[in-house]
Amino acid sequence: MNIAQRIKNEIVYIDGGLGSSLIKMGLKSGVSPESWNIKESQKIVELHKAYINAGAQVITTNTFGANELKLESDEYSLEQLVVRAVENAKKAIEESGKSKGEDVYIGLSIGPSGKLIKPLGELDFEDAVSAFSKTISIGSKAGADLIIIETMSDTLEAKAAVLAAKESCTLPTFVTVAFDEKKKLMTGADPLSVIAMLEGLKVDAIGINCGLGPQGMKSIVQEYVKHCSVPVIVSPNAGMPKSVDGKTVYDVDADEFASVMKEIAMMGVHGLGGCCGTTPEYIKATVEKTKGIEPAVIEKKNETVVSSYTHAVTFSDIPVIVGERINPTGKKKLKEALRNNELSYILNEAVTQQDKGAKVLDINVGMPEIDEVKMLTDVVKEVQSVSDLPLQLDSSDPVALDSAMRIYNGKPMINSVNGKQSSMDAIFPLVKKYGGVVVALTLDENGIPSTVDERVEIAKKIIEEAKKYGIDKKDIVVDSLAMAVSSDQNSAKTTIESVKKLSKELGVKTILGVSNISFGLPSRDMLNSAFLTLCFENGLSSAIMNPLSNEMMKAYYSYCALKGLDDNFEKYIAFASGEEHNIKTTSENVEMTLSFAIEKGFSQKAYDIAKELIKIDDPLDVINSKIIPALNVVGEGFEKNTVFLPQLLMSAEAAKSAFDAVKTAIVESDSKKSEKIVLATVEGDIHDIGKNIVKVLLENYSFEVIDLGRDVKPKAVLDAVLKDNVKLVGLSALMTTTVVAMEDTIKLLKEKAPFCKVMVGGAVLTSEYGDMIGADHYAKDAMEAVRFAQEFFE
Amino acid sequence: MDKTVKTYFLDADNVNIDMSLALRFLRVRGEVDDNTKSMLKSCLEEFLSAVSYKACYRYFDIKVQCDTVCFDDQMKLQSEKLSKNLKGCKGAFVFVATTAVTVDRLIGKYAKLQVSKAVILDAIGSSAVECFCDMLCKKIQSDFDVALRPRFSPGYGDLSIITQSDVLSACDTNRKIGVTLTDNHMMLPKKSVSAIVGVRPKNEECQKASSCEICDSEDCPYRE
Repeated sequence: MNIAQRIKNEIVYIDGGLGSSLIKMGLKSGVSPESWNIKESQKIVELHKAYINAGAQVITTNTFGANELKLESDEYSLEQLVVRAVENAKKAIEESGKSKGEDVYIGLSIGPSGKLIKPLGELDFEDAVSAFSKTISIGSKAGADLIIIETMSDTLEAKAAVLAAKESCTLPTFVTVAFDEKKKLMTGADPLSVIAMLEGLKVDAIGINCGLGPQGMKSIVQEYVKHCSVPVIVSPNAGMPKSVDGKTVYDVDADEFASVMKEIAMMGVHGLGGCCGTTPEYIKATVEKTKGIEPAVIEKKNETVVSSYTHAVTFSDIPVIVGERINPTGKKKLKEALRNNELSYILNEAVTQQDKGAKVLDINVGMPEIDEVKMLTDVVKEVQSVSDLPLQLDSSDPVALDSAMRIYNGKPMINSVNGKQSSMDAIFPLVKKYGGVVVALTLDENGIPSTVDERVEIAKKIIEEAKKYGIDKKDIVVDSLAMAVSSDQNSAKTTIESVKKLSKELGVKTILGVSNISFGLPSRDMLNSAFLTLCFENGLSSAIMNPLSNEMMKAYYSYCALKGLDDNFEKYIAFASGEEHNIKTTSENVEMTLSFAIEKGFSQKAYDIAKELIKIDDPLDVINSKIIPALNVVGEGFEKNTVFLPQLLMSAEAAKSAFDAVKTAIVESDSKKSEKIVLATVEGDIHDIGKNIVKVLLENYSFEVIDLGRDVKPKAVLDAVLKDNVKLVGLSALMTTTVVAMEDTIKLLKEKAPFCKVMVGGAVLTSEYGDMIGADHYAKDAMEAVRFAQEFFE
Repeated sequence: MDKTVKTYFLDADNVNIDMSLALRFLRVRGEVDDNTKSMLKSCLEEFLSAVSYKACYRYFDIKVQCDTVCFDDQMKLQSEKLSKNLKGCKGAFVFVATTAVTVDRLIGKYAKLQVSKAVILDAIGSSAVECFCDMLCKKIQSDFDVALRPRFSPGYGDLSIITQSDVLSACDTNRKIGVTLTDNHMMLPKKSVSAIVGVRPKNEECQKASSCEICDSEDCPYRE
């Protein structure tokens, strides 16, 4: 029987910690454990045999560190190491007189790559997928029976490994991750979010290994069995290591380990194994102690869950607010930001909506003139670097969805599929592959039906079709479409009735883009908020809406308070007291001048005052007689050491807010054309704080900064310079090791773009060093970079 | 001596962050105004909600020669300065300490949204990891009943930054605390410190030296 089937119905024993056992057998630290697959193959075979004799039904190959990113020595190729690892396992099964794939299964061990994936690290997601794919494809061809992805501490890396397994073989895949004592992965994910993502990716069993001893894992195991619809695997460490008489021993012995494993088995766990320190003796004791325990029946949990890289959002009685503001439809500013690739505008929208109470963010970047595939992927990556909310990927282009779902860190929402066959044919394969909760619109080839029953019928059809792909009803959230009540007086009624029927009779979760209802009528928020309350009362599970609308948030918090969904009225009170605070501060109307606000770094006030000023003064005058002089005061103060870096930056940001306010009033032709400057942190360098400081200040002095980011290749700098004919480049490097890359970049620029000057800065640089590598100017700090740029362009 | 890799985890409120050190990293050399003060305060609060401290450390018997130090049969580091730092020692601890990737994420977020905050958080992070290292050294001294020399890190003096990979693998940091290296030998999470601390021979007088005194960069703006 296939191991994936088997573990559903019985308790399966997995082997213990290979690495620690090898150390016990004499593996010296510093020597790659995988090299023993060849050098000491008989020892590896013996170890596997010992685990088999102890009762292990799954033995894991000695390939934990066998990936091209981690293997340093070129003594043996990846292929040699992995093939031999599988052969050793086969030999062990044979010599034990067992039958492979029936009594004992070979699990190809896939450990972490040893590199952090972007944006936290420097490894590209696809490079991680490709590295895992190589090992998996060699191992599966060599005869592994399943893939065991283990000790993962980053959800994104786990996802890369799972995709690699799915794309390079057809074997069952088990995934176990390592939590710390706070029940979090290294990169912050909690158990529920890990479960949501991995079940979405349709792995065959999921679990926990390493990091903790059996006792420490119990509470996490509890969460796993409560929420998992697939078999759960638990492989703890034998506690903590210590040395006794020069030998490493672990503080939980085999007997104690097995006793706790018995408790764990009784919680409903189907896969029992061990990690660091668990020698065959531990597995043997576990097998003996747990024999005869009836395997729990695994029930489907029917929870509608989406997740990010830190937490999950479950669709339950408390309605989920999905922030709708990142969608260019009808938004001039957002359109402009997308056209100019100014993602910072979008990022601000993301965090503002989160601050205002959104629990999921809709991301729609569809515009005719932009490359939506690239833009949606870029925006998803960027938003995930500033907000930990789960995202709703919103596009009518399946290719864009495919690309964004692939790199999304977690289990996304997808907006949307509908009852048209073509839509279902395009969207469901994606949901099947990457996982997700998909919004299903109740429309089909014949348009949007006018009756409740017809809409419910379409929902049923979509749910049925999804089943063919193995997508459960719980992963579908039906949108019965809110249409403008102004064009059809009954439309709100139909929608509300549909929501009611869908949730009560069909038992499916629902969602609505609520604000459509008021289209064409005045005081839209008034109508929207009443509609929202009516829908919630009739079972609506989530609303795509503007969390910045006070009226609607009032309706939301009031509904939760009145329905007993807000313990001790905590959220209601927090919201209401925020309201009072707002009224107070706006009515205070502090007498503050614009110069003062900028000099002291009050961003919001600088914006508000500037906005007032342009009603009475000429905008250009506000800039020249108020903003610029204030900035100069601060800049000079910094140079004289009376103003320090934090103040300088806060003032710069306040000035920027003031500029933003004034800009809205400036006619295009009035504004002076600004000079362009390219900024980059050089290749290999990931520390970009210095570059960011310089950027803020240069922008303040009205330079247009083309920010290439960090770890930028020389060629990319050159390309940016040539593309816009840029005359000045600023390069930053923090470490001596990366100054070399700075020198290479300067050389390339001098050769291919001699018209362009280069200024450099960074912790290790000095004026002499700058000269040595051919820079035109060394700026000791951000203000000096500004001064140099000003002189240069004069 | 126990030669297994040990771990040490602390919560945000167990480490008292030296804000004067953070201010030194920000090159603040005087009084700041009230708005900046309240900004520093709110950054510190946000930092505390994100940070958790993790370290691993391991004892080695060492042999010190004129320009190399052997750590059991695990690693050999070449550096005159390190040899000088460890002269007379029979053993040393190698440790790696970090403020966890959640801090990187927080700083990265503000680098995109509000640079002033990113810069302040970055300085707080640097100070926090330094303070954590000091606490770790104190813990080692009391747990092992030893006295320690001032710590010495890859990249100090003539100890090449390339030795980072040896130091990290000696402590199994990837698996134990999630610290990895970039291709250019920089540690991730960024707010991490790797170091070697010699165990002072018995009866040796305590020489109080700051890490700045070990370092050659005399024009360093952060120098005490």
